Amino acid sequence: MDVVVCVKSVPLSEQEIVINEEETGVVKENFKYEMNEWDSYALEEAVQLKEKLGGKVTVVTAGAPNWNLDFVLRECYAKGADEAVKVVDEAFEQLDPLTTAKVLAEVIKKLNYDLVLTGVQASDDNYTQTGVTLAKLLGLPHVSVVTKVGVSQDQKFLTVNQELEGGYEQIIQVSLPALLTIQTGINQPRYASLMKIRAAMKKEIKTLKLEDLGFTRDKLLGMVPVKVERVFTPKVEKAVKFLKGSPEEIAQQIVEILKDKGLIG
Amino acid sequence: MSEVIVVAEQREGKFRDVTFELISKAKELSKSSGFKITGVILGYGTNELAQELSLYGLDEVVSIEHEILKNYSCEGYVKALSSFLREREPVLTMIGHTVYGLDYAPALAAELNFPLVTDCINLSMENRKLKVTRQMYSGKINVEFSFPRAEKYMVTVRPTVFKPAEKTGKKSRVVKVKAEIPVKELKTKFIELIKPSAEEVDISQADVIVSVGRGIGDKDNLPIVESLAEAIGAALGASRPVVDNGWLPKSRQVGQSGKTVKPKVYLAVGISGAMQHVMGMKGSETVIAINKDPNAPIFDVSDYGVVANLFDIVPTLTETIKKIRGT
Repeated sequence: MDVVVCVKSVPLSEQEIVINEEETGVVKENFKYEMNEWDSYALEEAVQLKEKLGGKVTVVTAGAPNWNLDFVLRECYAKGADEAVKVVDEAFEQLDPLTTAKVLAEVIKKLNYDLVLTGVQASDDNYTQTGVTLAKLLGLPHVSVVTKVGVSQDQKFLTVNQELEGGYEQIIQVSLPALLTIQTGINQPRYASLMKIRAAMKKEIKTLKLEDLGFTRDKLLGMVPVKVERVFTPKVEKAVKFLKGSPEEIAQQIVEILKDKGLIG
Repeated sequence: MSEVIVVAEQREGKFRDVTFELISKAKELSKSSGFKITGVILGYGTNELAQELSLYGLDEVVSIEHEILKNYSCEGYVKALSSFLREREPVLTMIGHTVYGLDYAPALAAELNFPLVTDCINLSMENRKLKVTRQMYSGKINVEFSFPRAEKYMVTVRPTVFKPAEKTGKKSRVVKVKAEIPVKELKTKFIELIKPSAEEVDISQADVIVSVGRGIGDKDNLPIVESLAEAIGAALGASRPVVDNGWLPKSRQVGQSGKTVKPKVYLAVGISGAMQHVMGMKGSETVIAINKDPNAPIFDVSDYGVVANLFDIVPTLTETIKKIRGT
């Protein structure tokens, strides 16, 4: 089974987020990037399918030059990907999910695949939109928020679990080719051995420019349907009181709160 | 007259709360702009639901029925809603940012060529121009968007943000539409809905919950938090990463895809406060959070915060409580 996995390079989750002076975005100069957490589960699922059924895993990423794309793609190689493709342009800093999906679709159309996997969402912008939009653009059926994948004997369809709210799930059958958006926890992503990391450093990463896909930067930016008006700090729902002091003093303060609530004597 | 369409969400013949939250926001938008508000239900044999929805002060309720819509079907929803929305041309279509919503809204928007913004926490409309606010970086910033070229909009709205609408006592008209869905062309098939199993622990009933997150670092460190829960007499909860790693069972998970809890005290240990977690615990009376990152979003929903390494605080707290209890 040939699987294409879309991965995104995202700022580290513990990254401090500072709004720029113009209030139009965040200061990105000091950002460090890593593979989006959801995508690492999608990659693992693809590699496991390949190990079971044969075939090839191709990873595709799109991003700005400073997003550390090679680092992320080499990690994919070290964890079992067979080929890696990146689309690089400054424009990705400003694209919405629809426009990003249009670029990814042009890349994927040229590849052989039975299945396309993406993460449910990216940890930086949390849209949960790119994967499903991509499915639509590729004319594929899709299932979102998948927590289990089973392949039929004849490899013509999948039986998947879709996670719903409140502990519910539903089982859906989908014919191949298809696209799934993968939820965290579906598997345990592997660690790459040192040997594989070294081998990954030598592998080729195919680089595409927007022009190779029939786009230009201006054309893409012109396709974005939304405009950022203002970026601001969320109003906090509660005014937090920070407890200070030594661990003993802090423990004592927490005890007082629990006593106040009648929870300890 | 321009129209706002609210897509109701139902599962197993019951409306999900987000339906009424969407209605209340739609009413607010309509107050200033004079839009007609239409509620849409998709399903099969949904007459009772349509009647119920008609009591919430909408201008019209449309019940789109088809056998395939008896259970949620993404393809069925996209087919049925796209032909309905093409006919109605609403200025705004509002959908809940639930798993169903995030599953079909992007496909529907792409099909109709409507601009879509997902997971909105606020909407405002002036002269038919919509502005929406959504969060990024796990809730660390809010971003307000406008749509420079659009005249029609589609949004998914985060559940639990808006106050739900109440019944008004006035009944709106109900229209039934039979959806045309080419069943043979569908590439997905609903097999089964799995309900949460009746499990041994039900943390949603507990007065106190000690909940553990990614900050615990390793399964071997769990006893530190378990001892605290035991000393307090609290139920042990967890955030998603702990369950994803298989360190605690799914029945312990607090959040959108797990349990919704409202204890008197919720003690969050090493939990950063991702939105999907916060949605399951923000109804707690008092929240105490221990996290080493002063910018962790959990502090935005906490009454008391401790910025420290949990391994420095939790054992001391456990010992202090044990002393008081004389155990």
